[in-house]
Amino acid sequence: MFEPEESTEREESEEEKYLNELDAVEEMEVINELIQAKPRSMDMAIPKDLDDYIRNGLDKGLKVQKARQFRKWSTLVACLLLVVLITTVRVSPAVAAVLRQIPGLGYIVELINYDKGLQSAVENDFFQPLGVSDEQEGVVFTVDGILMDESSLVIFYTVENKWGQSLVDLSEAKLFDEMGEPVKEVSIVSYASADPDQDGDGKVHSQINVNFSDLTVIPNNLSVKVQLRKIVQDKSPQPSDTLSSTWKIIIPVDKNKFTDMKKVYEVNQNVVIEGQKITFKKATVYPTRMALNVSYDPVNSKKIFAFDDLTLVNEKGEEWGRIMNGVTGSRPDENHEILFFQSNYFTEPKKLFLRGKSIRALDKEELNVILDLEQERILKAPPNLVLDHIVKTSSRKVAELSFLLKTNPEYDKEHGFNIFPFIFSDARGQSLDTGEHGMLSHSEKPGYDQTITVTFPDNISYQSPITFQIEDFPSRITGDINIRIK
Amino acid sequence: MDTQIVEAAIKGDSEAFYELMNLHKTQLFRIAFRYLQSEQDALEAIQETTFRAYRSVKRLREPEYFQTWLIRILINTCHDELKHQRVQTSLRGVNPNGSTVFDDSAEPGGNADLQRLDILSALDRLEVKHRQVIELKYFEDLTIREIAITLERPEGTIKTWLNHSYKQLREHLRDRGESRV
Repeated sequence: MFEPEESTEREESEEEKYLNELDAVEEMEVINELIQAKPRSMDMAIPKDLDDYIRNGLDKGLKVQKARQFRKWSTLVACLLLVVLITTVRVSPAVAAVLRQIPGLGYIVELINYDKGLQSAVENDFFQPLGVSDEQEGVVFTVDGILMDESSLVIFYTVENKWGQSLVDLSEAKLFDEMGEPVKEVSIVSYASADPDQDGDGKVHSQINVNFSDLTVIPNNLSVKVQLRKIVQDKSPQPSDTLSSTWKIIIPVDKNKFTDMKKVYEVNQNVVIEGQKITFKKATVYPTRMALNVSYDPVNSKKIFAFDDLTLVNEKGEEWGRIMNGVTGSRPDENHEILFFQSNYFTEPKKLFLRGKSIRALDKEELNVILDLEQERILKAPPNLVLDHIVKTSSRKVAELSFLLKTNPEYDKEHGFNIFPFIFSDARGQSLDTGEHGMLSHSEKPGYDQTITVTFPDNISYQSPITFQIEDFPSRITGDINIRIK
Repeated sequence: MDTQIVEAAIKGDSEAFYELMNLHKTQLFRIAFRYLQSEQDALEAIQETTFRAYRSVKRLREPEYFQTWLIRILINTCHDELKHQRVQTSLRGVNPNGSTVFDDSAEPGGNADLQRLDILSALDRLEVKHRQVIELKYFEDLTIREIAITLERPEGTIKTWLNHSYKQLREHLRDRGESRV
């Protein structure tokens, strides 16, 4: 029974062998021809101006400062982000001393280097090390530690890709309570560095900022669930870069550590600057930040975007500035705003003053940017903002809008403008979400110095023209603010 | 390659980086030109590659892979450029140059040149990835491991692509033989 089969098999394998030999011979022929063709393939006139193109590319690289891409997921619509282009880093020795005691936490020193309040919280033992990991698909997501009070939560994390070469970073984060329900009335912000692997150790270190509102019910156990994605060399993120798993970490919440810590100061003072009335109502100091409640007179002719230089100063002249990265404030409605400052909670000043001179504002009539996506042009926009180009997909849908902005070198050198909200409305009046926004302190066009990009998700449909409501702009009013808070 | 120059570039020495670009520029140009089939597009791809590479060179962990790393950025850049061109083309409804990448009818010479050109024009008929592995291996002398790193694929995949390319090229050459008879 077996013999005939074996013999056919042998015959087949001999035939195969013959064919394989034939294949090999023909393959050798191909390879020979390729080897012979090499000199012709290499014989290519190299353009004389190749060097100029390399120089241009390098010059452009030298000019561009670090840009941060930022992203947000929010259930509170009105959260402001300020993007700061960071050029220098100075490290507080006291903070470094605390954080470097525990291996792997050294990176936090640099992340909080722009926030005196968080630094002082760390110095005062307010940092809670966690060191809990979850591994999926060979990628380890670790929450190294947190800073938390009833106003905000900062989660410091590390992502390590153990199998692959590419770096992996956060794509989306969500918070759930002990019942598995999403935590309501929070906004979650995370920003990706342009240099995700600054120290070259193959791990990405960053932070997630969670902003609680007065209405947030903080659960006893928080679980943070994240989606991660591969970072592809200098490419804007694609949905396909996102990994399919979800990583989950439980963060135990010790409410005793922060309940009733806040200190409230009633202020209730007005200032009028270039005809715009502003009321400072109260200041609330938490360990992670200070919140200043401000209101704007509804009859003001200009919309107030932001205070350039508003600072808290104590009796010794020591200053606390605004939060520079992450959640810098929130706007419960059109005329009310909460500004976040770096906290002086642990410093206990005797006197405290609020000082500032310059405010970014724009006439209320000028707040719309209207775009015709078919003609690819701006129908309405304030001066100093132009559309550079629109990247469209093969099905003619918008993938990315790219704008150029002219800023004021006196104020804006280290400031990236987030002038567009994450929503827009279309011709039918429906409201739609944009994708990520990015900015670059560089522009291809003379006279403009920042490039702002707004990406569109794949799956949305809209009708041109579309309208954005400007959220920030480099136009200003100036005056003198000097108010005693404490 | 001089590892010291690469290390200087990684530390932020822009002149060292320029020197490295100089060292690799003709190879980069060849690869870009073969990919994009246009001198102007190839030059712009190299400008963009220089920019992207300079901005990320400090993240390069293994200096000995500078060359493959650079080619990888170039290929990604060319890929982006082609995608962009396709979009523009489909928006305009016509190819702006009036010719396609795979059209070899404009090649110089008549029948005498036919056989000589065949292997290269047969190569042009392959899918980009199949063409690329051949070009990197036989024209740019990269090892299979280096090609794998450049194209961010396992070595096994590169071998599979190479085999596929041999087979296809063989078929093209067979066609040539038959049509000559």
